[in-house]
Amino acid sequence: MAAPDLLWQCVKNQSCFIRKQKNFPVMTAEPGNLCGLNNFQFSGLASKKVLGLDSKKVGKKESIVLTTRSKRESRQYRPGVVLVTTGIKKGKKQGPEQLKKIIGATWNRPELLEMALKKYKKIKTSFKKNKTVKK
Amino acid sequence: MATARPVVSIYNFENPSEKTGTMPMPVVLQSPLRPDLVREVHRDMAKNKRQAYAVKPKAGYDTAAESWCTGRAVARIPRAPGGGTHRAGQAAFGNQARGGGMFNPTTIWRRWHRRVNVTKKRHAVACALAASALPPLVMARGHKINQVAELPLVVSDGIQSLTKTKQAKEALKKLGCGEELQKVIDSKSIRAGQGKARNRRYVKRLGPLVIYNEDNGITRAMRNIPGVECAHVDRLNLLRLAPGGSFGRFVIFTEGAFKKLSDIYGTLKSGAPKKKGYTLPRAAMANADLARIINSTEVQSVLRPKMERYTHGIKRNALKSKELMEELNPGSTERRAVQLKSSQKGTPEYDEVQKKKKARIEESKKYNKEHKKGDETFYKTLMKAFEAKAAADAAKKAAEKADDEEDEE
Repeated sequence: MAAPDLLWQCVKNQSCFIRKQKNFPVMTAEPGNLCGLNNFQFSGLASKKVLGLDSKKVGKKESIVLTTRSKRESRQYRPGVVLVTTGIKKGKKQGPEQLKKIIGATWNRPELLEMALKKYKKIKTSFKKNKTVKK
Repeated sequence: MATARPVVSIYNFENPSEKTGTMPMPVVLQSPLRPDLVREVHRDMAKNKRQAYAVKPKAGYDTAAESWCTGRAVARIPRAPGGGTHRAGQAAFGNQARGGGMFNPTTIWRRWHRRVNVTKKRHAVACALAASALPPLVMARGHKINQVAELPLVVSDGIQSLTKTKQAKEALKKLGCGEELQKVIDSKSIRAGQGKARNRRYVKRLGPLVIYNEDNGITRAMRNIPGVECAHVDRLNLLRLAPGGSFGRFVIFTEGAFKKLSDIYGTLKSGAPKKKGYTLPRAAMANADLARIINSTEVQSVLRPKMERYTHGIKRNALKSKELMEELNPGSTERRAVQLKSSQKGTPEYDEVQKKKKARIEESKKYNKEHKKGDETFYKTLMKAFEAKAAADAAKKAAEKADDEEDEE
């Protein structure tokens, strides 16, 4: 696999996932990007270690899904299997614990743990039926 | 790049969950990524299929117009001759006149085509091939490859003998291209702009490029599937490998074609057997992974320890901040406390100060009594000095006057 820095240089301006708006940071829709920002730090295309947290809706069921990149060499060239999705529990305590275990303990982008926890909270509030806007 | 060449599986085109074999990746597919080179070469190559357009050479000048010159109360622009029609006397020639020619008429001898160095073109193709083997780049280009088993996708040679479009479509779907093909179909729309009236009515996205070695029907089977294009290994076109100048096209190789890549391009050492005098491009950096280089033991072991940088906090003013003053001038708080106390009557500090004051005054009085009396008082000394100066001045003046009188005489 090509070097992350090199891939980033190829992809940072030229990607079908990039979304641009006036007076707004450049965003990306690629899978595996935690913040959706078009940054080398968060890039789901360029880095070897990828972290994404999204909500997924299948029919009526809403779930929270964590995306990481497989470490196996053999999987790097297999587009269908390279990104590994894990369901995250929706329980108040269990969810963050699970996140801490996967992200922090296994050294899978531990610096993004705090951000992931914040996003987890936001996803949970988005699941609420009576959507009260938090001020 | 990777020192060990990854091994690529070959999939059975009839039953793509089966692998019929494996092959090491050809060195071409590990060429350095050079989006700038590909863009440049594509830009120039794309100009080569242009057809000339221009206005007629005589456009706007096909009149016998002549200027009426001065004296007739009209502008001096050439005017159409004759009479009996509205056209007579109207301005002609010149971009400002109605029915005149345009400024700087477009010509057919404009330089429409560009030549590109052969080596450059070859490097660009090698680079584009390498990009098509990397999932992030292919995804970034917009291809839907989530169902595809592996990149680069190599299929057994049987696919080259397909003759029916239906079979070809089935085969592609089984290989995981269904999403991609659907994307193409969904993207068909009417072109924006005049092209729609010029036999270019529809636009759609591009799908996979199938690269084959022997055409036993595959081109004809694939040609009616929207989005799918075919290419022979020997004749790879950059305009197809990197459409629009963006590399990372989704490519499907047949087994024969994949094998042939090594025969055509060879390795960095051997050069390209089928391309005379050509060797694959070399990367400017053998290992472009900066993070790994920086964190490697070779580098880390020779680094000096990290410098402690003095970070200035918010600047504090010692005159305002008592703590800072104490840091800088130890004892100042104590001193200040004593000072405060010494102005309060009844405290020992106050008494101390008063005592010192009294002693000072006594001393001064004593001194004055001894030294400053009689002729040594302040006033007397002052007047003495003054009178001395006054006398000196007077004497000087008298002497001058005496000189002047002398001169007069």
